[in-house]
Amino acid sequence: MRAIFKPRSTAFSLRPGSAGILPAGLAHAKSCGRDARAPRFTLALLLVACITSSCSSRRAAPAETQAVTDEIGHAVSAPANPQRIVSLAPSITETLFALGLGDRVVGVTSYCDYPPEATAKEKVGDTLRPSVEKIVALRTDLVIASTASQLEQFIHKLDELGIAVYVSNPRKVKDVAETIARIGALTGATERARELSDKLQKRLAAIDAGVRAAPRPRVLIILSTEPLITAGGNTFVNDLIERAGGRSISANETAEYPQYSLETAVATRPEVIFLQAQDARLPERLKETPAARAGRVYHIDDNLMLRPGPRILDGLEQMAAEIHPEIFKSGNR
Amino acid sequence: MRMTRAGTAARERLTAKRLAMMLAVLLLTVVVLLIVAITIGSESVKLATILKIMIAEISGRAADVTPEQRIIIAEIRLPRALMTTVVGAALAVAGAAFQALLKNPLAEPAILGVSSGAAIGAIAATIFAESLPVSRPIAAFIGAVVTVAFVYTMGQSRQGGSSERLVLAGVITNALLSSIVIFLVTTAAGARQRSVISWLIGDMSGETSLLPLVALFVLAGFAVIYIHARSLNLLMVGEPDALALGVEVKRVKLMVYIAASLITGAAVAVSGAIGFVGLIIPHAVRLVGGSDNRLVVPASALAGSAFLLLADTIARTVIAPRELHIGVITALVGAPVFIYLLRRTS
Amino acid sequence: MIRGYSYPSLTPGPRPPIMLEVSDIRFSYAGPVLRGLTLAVRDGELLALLGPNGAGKSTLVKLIVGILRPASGKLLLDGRDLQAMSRREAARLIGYVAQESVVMFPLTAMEYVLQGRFAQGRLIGFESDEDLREARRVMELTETTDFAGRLVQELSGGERQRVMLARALVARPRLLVLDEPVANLDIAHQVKTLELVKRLIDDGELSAIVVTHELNLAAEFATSVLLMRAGEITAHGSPREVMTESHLREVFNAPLAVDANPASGAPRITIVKRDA
Repeated sequence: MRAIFKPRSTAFSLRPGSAGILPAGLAHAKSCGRDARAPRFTLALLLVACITSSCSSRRAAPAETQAVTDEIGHAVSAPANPQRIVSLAPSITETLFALGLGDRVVGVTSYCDYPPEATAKEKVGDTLRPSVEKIVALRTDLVIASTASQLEQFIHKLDELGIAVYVSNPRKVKDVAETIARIGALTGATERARELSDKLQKRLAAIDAGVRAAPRPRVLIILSTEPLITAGGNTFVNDLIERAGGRSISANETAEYPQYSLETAVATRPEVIFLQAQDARLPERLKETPAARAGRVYHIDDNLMLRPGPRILDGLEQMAAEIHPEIFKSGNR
Repeated sequence: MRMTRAGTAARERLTAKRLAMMLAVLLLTVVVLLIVAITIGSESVKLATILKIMIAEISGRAADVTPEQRIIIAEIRLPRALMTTVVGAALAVAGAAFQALLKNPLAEPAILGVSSGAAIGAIAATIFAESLPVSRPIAAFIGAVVTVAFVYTMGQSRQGGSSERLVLAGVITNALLSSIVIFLVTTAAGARQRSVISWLIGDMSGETSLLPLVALFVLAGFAVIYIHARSLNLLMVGEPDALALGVEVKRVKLMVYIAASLITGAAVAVSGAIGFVGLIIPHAVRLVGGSDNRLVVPASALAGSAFLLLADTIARTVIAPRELHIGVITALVGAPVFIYLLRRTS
Repeated sequence: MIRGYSYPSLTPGPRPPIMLEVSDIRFSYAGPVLRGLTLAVRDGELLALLGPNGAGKSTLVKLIVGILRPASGKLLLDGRDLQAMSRREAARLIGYVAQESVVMFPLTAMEYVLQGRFAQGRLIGFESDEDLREARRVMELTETTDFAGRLVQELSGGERQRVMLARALVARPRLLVLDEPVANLDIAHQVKTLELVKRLIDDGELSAIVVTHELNLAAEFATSVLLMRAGEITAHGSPREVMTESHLREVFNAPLAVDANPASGAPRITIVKRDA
């Protein structure tokens, strides 16, 4: 919906480059102002123009905008220098703080726990159902979300309210660096972003080099024990395992989170097992797998390994050390 | 809903001979399906190997097989098949019991919300008494009993409980309790060991350590129900009738409700709320053999085992190495069968 | 109105012993239904219970049979306290035919009749030869032998009522209690049923209480009649004593005239249409 008026600015300014819909006669009448020949006509036209403009609960538009395309191909008209940013994913929060934009963050989700300063920020809800009212009340000018949160309808709602939404879509580990760069461009923190991105790329390259020639142990990912649920090939966690030099036994599965046969898990003789939850116990019937016998059962640290943010390399390095202890020493950065 | 019997054979009543014959056929079916369940899986294991492992399990000696093969057969497939047998029998018998008590062929623990109540009990046990796995079937039993009492009370009107009202009360209760299950599993950390869907639809892939206890509960409940089979026959015709004919109606109802809840609790604690088994198995048995509970109760147990064994084998193999939840199979098979049964009877 | 009861003059000679004694029975449902009812039924009686809807007839018989429990009062059968007996004992003594029975599951007539032997046999196990013999016997009596293998739901209302009667008879009860047993029967079967009951009574097998709306049938077959209204007995005696025009008009609030059946001498009730 194109605005004919911009209410914040002075009511009768005609800016160059704006949608010039005002009829020429009115324009002339306005610039002449005191032309007594058509005062009522002018008033009527002004009334019509006012009504036909979007006089709804539209917020003030920022002074400048930038047109970007976000990571799901959605066109975003974001403010050029966003000052009030809401993050809808822990990874985004970490990224924003790592870029030094902490004081521009006005709202986070209840799961955003890093860095510690983030916990002091206003909570707009959890990642699945954030509160639109809260976001509006915070006078947000930019919302950054992640597809990991599955928020499609939510994005439409924010669009309707005229709040810019940028959606990031990190599918693989390598996308993280790219997301950081783009968020940097979006927020004007391009320098910091490039620094951070370069560092991450370097660490990634180091791991790549380390695992290149190594044999890939068979890895079993256990996301749930009753029933046994593992990760398919298209998932982030699978990519993590590949990068860390392992090969998941369910890498060929096209479903994201397939319920898996315990028999097959046993028959493939996994050499490393990753359990998702901190409190999960290894199922009794997997205790004779090569992984269990060798004590190579590890937990997936959700915060380090499943957040596509700046700490992903910490997670990846830890996983690489667990899968290839002979190449990487854990805790070695 | 009225039912008519297949065929016009002048079969007047249940005789010991007919009972023995039907049970023998069903038992044979169960044994065959049990063998099939052990032989088939997502990994192929040769029959000879399977035999070697079974012999080794019985004799206690080590078998000349790989450790993976031994685990697959002796620790995964065999316990799962046995558990499926027990759970199938339990759900079918509970269904038959509830149908007799409610005088309604549409009753079963899943529809009545009793399975959901049992699930809540079991979930509570995983949250509060995680280190004591035996608490799960007991808590599930308590959940089932409380739900039965609640549904029963809700279903009473001034004229006493009409069977339609009771089933309606059960359906509403089930909706309420299912939401509570979802809430508990998604918010309480300790409950997250098992997924929501597994609780609500059913799943046989869980731990089988509780098999002996569950089998014991099911056997005890079955015995109580079977002892009252003749009384239930009379109850099915109407409570005033039964009273006039000499049945201690209150006592029989109490015992059978408790026994049915015990059975349901035991089954749900290990496999979640599997639906349709309690509904269609007793129905099908009655169509073939008549309503005499001296037949319906044991025949439902065997037919329930057979059905669930078949369903689980399908669930484990149709998209191998992935698995389907068994509740999906029972619903996919159960719903059309139920529609078919409905059409035959009216 | 005659309150309480008066012994009907059945036959000359010594009066038969009292079989059923109902003393001061009280029962409430939403409000009081029976307020201290007392009556006695003797051996060999066919007692007809008459009265308008809501009079408490069904309630009274349900209390006798044991389906309902009275708030207070005594029920004695052959001097034994019915309320103190176990259900099985009471079931052996009293046979009951309810107003209607809805059967939702496939049940053959034979299975249905055999249910009447429940109180006789062991709790677990199958029916004995004696059970089968008795079942066939009563099915012959009620002309329901042909239905033995058919499902109860497939029978007509009248056929079902005869099967219900068979079930009530199969345990050879002392007292037969029938709640509107002929409501769905055609006239031939109405007469046959009551003739059967009468015959069984005359053979010394049992006594009967019959709740019915069929006034003429009651007049023909009953040896005594109990007229009830609003939970109280308004008259009790022989048909001729009780079924007078003034009694009937008052209790039923209907335009009835009573004369005598030319064949039997029993009261004959006819309807006199109200004048416009």
